[in-house]
Amino acid sequence: MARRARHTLDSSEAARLQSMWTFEAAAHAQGFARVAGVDEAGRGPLAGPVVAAAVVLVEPVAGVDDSKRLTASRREALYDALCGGGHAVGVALVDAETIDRIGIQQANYMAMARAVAALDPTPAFLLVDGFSVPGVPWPQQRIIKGDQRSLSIAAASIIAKVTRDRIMTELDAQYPVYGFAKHKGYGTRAHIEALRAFGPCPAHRRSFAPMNEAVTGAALFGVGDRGWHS
Amino acid sequence: MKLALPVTLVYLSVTVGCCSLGGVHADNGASFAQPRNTTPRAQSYAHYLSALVQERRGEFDKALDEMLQAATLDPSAPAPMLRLIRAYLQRQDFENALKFTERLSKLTPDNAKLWILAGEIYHHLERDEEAAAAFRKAIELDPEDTHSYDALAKLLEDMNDLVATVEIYERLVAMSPDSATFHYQLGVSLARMNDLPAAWTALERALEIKSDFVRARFLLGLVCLDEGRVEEAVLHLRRYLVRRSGDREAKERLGYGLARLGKYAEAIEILAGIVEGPHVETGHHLALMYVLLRSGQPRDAERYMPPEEAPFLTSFLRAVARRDRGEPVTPLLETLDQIEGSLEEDCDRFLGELLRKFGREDAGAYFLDVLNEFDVTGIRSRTLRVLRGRILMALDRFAEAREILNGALDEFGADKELHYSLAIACEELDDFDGTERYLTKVLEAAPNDPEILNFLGYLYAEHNVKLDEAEAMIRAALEQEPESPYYLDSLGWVFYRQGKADKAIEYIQRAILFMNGDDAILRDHLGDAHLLNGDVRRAVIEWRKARRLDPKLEGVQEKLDQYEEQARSGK
Repeated sequence: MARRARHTLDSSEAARLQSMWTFEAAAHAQGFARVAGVDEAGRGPLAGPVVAAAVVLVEPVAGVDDSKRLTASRREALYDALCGGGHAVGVALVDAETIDRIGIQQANYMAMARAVAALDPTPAFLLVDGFSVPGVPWPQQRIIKGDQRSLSIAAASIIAKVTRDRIMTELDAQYPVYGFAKHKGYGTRAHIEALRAFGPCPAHRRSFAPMNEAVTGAALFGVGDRGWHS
Repeated sequence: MKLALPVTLVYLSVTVGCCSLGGVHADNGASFAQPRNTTPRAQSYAHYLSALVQERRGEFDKALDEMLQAATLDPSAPAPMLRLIRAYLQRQDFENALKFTERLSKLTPDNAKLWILAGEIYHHLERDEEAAAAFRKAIELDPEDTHSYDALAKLLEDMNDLVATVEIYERLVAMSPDSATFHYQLGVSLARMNDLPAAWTALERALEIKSDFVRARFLLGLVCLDEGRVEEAVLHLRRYLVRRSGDREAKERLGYGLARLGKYAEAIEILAGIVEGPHVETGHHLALMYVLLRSGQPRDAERYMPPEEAPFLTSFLRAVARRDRGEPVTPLLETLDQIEGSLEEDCDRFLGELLRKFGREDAGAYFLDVLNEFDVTGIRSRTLRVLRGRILMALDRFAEAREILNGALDEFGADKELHYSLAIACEELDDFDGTERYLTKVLEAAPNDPEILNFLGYLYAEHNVKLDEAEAMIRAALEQEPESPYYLDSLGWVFYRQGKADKAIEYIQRAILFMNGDDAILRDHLGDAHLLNGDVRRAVIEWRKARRLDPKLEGVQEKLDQYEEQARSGK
């Protein structure tokens, strides 16, 4: 289309927000005053932490949507709005070393449980994207494609994504040869090639299958032992 | 599930918590075993019980292995398979969850709920067409069960297919005419596609059935405001606030509505409460300044200037306040062109917001009157010219806007913002040469601006000229914003012009998915791409959606007139 659409009608945006507020409204109707959306970022990458966020929205926030439908700059703006609008936000991360030790699934649970525990005040009910979190004392509902269907989960996805992207940018400054700022740790061709050339750094998840292949590849080429230190 | 004798034995072994009889072990001494030479079903059940215990211990991997064995040993038993599906869902292993759901649906093909589950999993795997088919199968199996309709409606909504969503809710409303929820959901979908009169009817009906349906009340208030039924909007918002007195958004809208009705005192009280509260935004300050000016309180208006952002608009409103206080305005107006900042942002974001909040016609006419008075002072100001041009554009008076902006260009010289505004005005006036000329000028100043690259690229595609250049420009824009639905559609449209139907369909469909609502132009494009592909039936479906979304969209009705019969006859 030629340009960005003109401003949407107020009622149209409100209707979109309301259609993403149905799970929250149902929980409120059942007497749960503080409903937290929970989501994570970074299950798939070969490097960096898994980051989880939990968000209790005091009201629907205009513009919040599935983080994949938002540009990076829009996500940043919404991150600020979510952190500054009286909403409760909890964030937690589990690093690569722990992921290697306990597995990505347990790491996810751990990050999510910690993010929920970091909420102040505590929530009364959880809406979780994709799966339920074991070991938390609050009732919860698992929602498939939750980041498209629930505003609170979408808000959590924005917080988790922005936080993780920022961490990957910092890791990029520490280990510049891998291009973390660009691919955020995902297994892009450039990343795999860098792994083959330099071996893994402490931010890499060594337990991930493609890592083994890449490291084996690096060893075959005789450079694996140098690692990132060299 | 029938409990056969061996299962009872297993149960006993669990209750005594000991005596491994071989086969299945759980850690920490617990054994869930079966006598040797038992049936596969008994072994299956032992694994099943073991899995339950492992699950409770948080040993999810072991639980999954056990459940997998249970399902393999007795493939006709639904219980382990259901557990297995749940375990895979828990691990977000949707491929395996789907595998067992499909297997289970073969065992119990008439189970509508399984088809709903399959639909949900397909949806997660982004196999949306199959998801829709699964939900439709569930509807076919149990047409009275509204859950499958609801699941399908939500899927279609996620796919941004609002027309189809509305059709499902219309069926639900017909099935359950006394369901306030379905009327409300229908109203929400209609409001999302900007069909305000129909949304109004649906929401009114929801409130007739359930007068304390607060969300319906709020949305109806906003629909009324957008429809210009301001008194009605105020009534609904007041009633809503009785139940939700802390909702700032509703208070804001009530304030705007009251101001539009000339009830300034109450509007000011509400808006001042917001500005003096927490998390206040620039738009709140500007709205309050505007209402104070309209109510003849210029001194107070100056008190509520926003602390940051919108410097041009704030100075302009200050100048209005000074005029109203009978003070000279020229010194202030003379400083307008020296302000640092983006006048484009002031106009696009804040001026646009003010016009929307307080009614384009009324607020626009007010600002134009002020500008006329300022003109009398003889002040030469580029800012004032641009403001006038942008207000005229907001009022769809594009020819006048172009004249004003052209005059500013002659008087104040070349300028990226002026060129951009002129390009928009020219495009609205179907002036290809003008649009191209001004966009090229903007690109000279900002060669990598993705929005301008897309604007010009799309212009070429729309006019079927310079397609290679268009493709390169839009690809450059997409490199910067790979998921922009606007750029994706533009590239799809270039492919359409190049005769590449498959690629056109792929890109336009992706564009629809990334929009935060349905769009008539995109549907029209998709219909054209399907026609290019020789699929008249799908083309007609998309054009019908385009017509439903925007009945005035040029050319759509003509295409339907030409091809609907052909689609019906299947030729």
